[in-house]
Amino acid sequence: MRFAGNTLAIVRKDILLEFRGKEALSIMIFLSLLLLVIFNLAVDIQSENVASLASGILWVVFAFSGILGMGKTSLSERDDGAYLNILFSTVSMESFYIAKVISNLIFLLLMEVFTILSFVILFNYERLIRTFPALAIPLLLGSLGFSIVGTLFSFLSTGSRFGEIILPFLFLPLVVPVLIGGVSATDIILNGSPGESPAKWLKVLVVFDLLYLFISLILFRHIVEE
Amino acid sequence: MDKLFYLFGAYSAAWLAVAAYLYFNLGKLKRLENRIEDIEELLKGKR
Amino acid sequence: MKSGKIIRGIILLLAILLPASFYLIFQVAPSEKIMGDVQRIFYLHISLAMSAYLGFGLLFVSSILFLVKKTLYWDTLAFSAGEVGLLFSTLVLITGSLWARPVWNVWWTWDPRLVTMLILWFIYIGYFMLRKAIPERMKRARYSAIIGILGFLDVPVVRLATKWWRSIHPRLAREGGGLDPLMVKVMLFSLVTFLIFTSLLIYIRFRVAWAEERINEIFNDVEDYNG
Repeated sequence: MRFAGNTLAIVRKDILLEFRGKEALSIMIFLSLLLLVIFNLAVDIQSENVASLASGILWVVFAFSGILGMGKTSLSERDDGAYLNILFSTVSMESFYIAKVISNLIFLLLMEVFTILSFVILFNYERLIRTFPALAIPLLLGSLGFSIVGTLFSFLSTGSRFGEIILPFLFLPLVVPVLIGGVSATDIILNGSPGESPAKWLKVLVVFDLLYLFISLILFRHIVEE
Repeated sequence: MDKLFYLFGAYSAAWLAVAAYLYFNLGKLKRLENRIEDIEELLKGKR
Repeated sequence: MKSGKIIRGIILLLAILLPASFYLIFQVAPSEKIMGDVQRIFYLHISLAMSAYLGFGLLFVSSILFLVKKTLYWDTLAFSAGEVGLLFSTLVLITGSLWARPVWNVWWTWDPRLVTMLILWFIYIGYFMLRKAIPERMKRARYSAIIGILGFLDVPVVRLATKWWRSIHPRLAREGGGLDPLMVKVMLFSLVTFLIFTSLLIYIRFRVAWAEERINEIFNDVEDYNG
């Protein structure tokens, strides 16, 4: 009970801070918008090819904007040494980590909803809205995977020099299973033939999430310990 | 058989790289261990 | 020195095994019916791949041991093994490419095994980038151990995902057919030889890194003494 209360208190603090400063979220949202425009200039998205390109483009945007935003949230935690206070307080490292995962997950989901809406408007692809209830599942599971790994790694990289540059190099290769699973599940939901089910890919996402959540919970205390 | 070029290329590339790595490390090991000996000698004199 | 004797024994053993494995690969093993002699890259390619996994596996185990024991010995072993693993995985990708070109007429194919190796290669490049970026010794060891553990755990998940992914993106069928029993024997022989050689290489790399560690330690002591 204490654990849940502490965790929620930190999540609440993060969200309040974010809505006051809007730093991480605005970075994520502007980057995702920019990436969509760049993608359009690079591959010329038309009504004939939008269905086959949508899932891939969306997930690449989620991954890149996501990792930049997550780097920012833990940076603010480092900057004023705020996370050190956690060490001396009664809040356990585990609940601190879980809280960070949850608040990053919330930011990621907000960014993703925004990206999907922009995609619908920019490329006239309304199918994304109609299938949204089904899309929400891979979106949630995939973002959870991003958040679990991204939260841990953003603390690693902010502790090093040129952290912001190294972070994508650590993050992107590791989340390859999430990208494959997310893209494939989304693609099946958008274009699948009646017999196909995204269940297999959701399984990949669930396995990834559970494995990495478990290991990260064990490893997180080794990052912050000084 | 120009295909044998690839066979030859693969084996020589791999073994050259490994040999270079080995050579580099053995040379470095020798230098470092000599240096440790020197330093220990020096420290012995000081004590 | 007892360990010195063992090392000398291993070097002597390799002096016999390595030429023997070359003889087996190029003289004894039969030529493959469809691919021809180029198929002999296979013995090198598989041995390199397994050696890379030996390196990364050792990196994984030493990283865990470092986080448990917190002694730099394990960190030194971890990155020595990782460096050898990275060297071999680079060579796996190169030899794989040199094999695919004459046989399938492509430089690269998105085969699950190849993709897994490539992703691993990127993960360990990240591992060494992170190490370079952290000046504090203990912190560098702690942080990189975390990457060493998480990176290796990714192997089965990436492998599964790429395998399923390929089933919906069929590309080149990479079918070797059944292997000749003699080929299997030659393969096993060269594999064992190569793994012994890899262990020796990791040991030498570890000795270098450990000597550097000791020199640093001595200088730190002197600094403490003077300061």
